[in-house]
Amino acid sequence: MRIEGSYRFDAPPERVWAVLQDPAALAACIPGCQTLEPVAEHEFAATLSVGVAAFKGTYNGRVRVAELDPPHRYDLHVEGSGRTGFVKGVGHISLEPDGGSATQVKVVGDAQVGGPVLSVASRLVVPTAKMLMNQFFAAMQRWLRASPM
Amino acid sequence: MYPAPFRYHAPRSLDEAIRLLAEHGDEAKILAGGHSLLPAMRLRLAQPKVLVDIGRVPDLSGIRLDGGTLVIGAMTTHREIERSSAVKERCPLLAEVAPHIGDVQVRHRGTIGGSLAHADPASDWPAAILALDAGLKVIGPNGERTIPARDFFVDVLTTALAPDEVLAEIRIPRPGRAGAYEKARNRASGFAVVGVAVAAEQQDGKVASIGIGITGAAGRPARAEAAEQVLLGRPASPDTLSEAAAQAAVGLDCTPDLHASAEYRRHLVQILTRRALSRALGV
Ligand SMILES: Cc1cc2nc3c(=O)[nH]c(=O)nc-3n(C[C@H](O)[C@H](O)[C@H](O)COP(=O)(O)OP(=O)(O)OC[C@H]3O[C@@H](n4cnc5c(N)ncnc54)[C@H](O)[C@@H]3O)c2cc1C
Repeated sequence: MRIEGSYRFDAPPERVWAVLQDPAALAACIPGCQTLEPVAEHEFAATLSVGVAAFKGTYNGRVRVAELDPPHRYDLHVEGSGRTGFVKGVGHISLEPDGGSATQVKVVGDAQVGGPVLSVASRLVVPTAKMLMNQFFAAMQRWLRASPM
Repeated sequence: MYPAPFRYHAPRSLDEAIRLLAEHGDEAKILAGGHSLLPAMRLRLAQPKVLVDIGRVPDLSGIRLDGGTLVIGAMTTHREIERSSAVKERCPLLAEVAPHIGDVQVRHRGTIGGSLAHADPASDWPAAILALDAGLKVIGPNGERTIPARDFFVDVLTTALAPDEVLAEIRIPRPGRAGAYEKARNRASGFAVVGVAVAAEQQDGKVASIGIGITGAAGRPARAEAAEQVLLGRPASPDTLSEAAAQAAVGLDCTPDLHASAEYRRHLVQILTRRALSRALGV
């Protein structure tokens, strides 16, 4: 599955980069994030409890940041599984200045999803992933606005 | 697979149902026809601890007229709507949508309220409910309110309903407008890859009112407002219809998946809008 999104932040790329790499911000903004613990440099173990309406599940996974080119781009490798299925994928994230004081963050992701979830809900996977991604970036935008310069 | 254990309640009144929902909060789920909820429970995608079956609550099902408004109880099955002569006469669009849902067995159990509350992005009713400017009457611990269809669908499987609210009625003002539904059906599941519903009225040779509802294309159903604007107040002709259809996917964040790319969905939205407009407006 392919997933894309584009988000505007009211701050220059350096500041947006800093929050996007900040474990505290990530833990607060990843939907349903219960734990996020560093296991190596640029790598975290995470537990998520994600609920979309009646569909709830707990997922364990790893997040690894690679190809860092601050403050322009990085790759986010995600791997997770739970009772309802698994996901494994990579998101290419780029930050582009938008005028003097704003940033456009673009995400192009590619993921494999499998497991029982597909037999009843294959049509829900992409829109749900997109919804969670939108929630994540909306929370990040709020986090950035709320954090002092 | 068997579902996780749960407690089952079958309240005999709406008050009791709402009390049970309020008491159990996040852990409880309403059970209507069970045709979306039970498959999810069997795969343990959903594991509610408490089910509140509203099948025995009186007055939640049936079709009636309230002045000029067509009122459909939330527990009315797809099949009852399909076979209702009142619906055939009074609301051609709903009569046309119903047979598109699943198969006869599904339509005998599944309810319009369950379908709307579930908000599967590929379900059929939302397109019609949006096109018809329906009002959704919901009842909760603090009384009742009516949510306009436009504000009801929030995101994938997410609506404006609170967990302790019951969707009670679908209220359709001006149900008699001409209508048409066009659907590209997923061959395996029967759900809409894209579905387009049109409700329209012409006066003095011009389009006096129009609603175009789109389902399946994105994470939530939506009105094709740009396309509606093209037609409002203008005569319906092959040219104006094509001009409108070309605008039908404006603002839609189309879903790419195994079954259809985002570009293909966008294309389907335009083609199906053109066809539905053509039938609804007789051009
Ligand atoms: C094989 C199959 C094929 C199908 N094909 C199609 C299709 O082509 N098109 C289509 O649109 N649908 C299709 N469906 C879905 C079907 O229409 C479901 O019946 C419908 O989506 C859910 O209605 P339900 O009454 O079964 O609700 P349930 O499964 O009982 O409930 C669904 C959800 O809504 C909530 N809920 C139910 N009623 C209310 C209420 N009154 N107030 C508040 N919350 C409520 C429940 O708590 C639950 O979360 C298909 C289903 C199956 C099994």
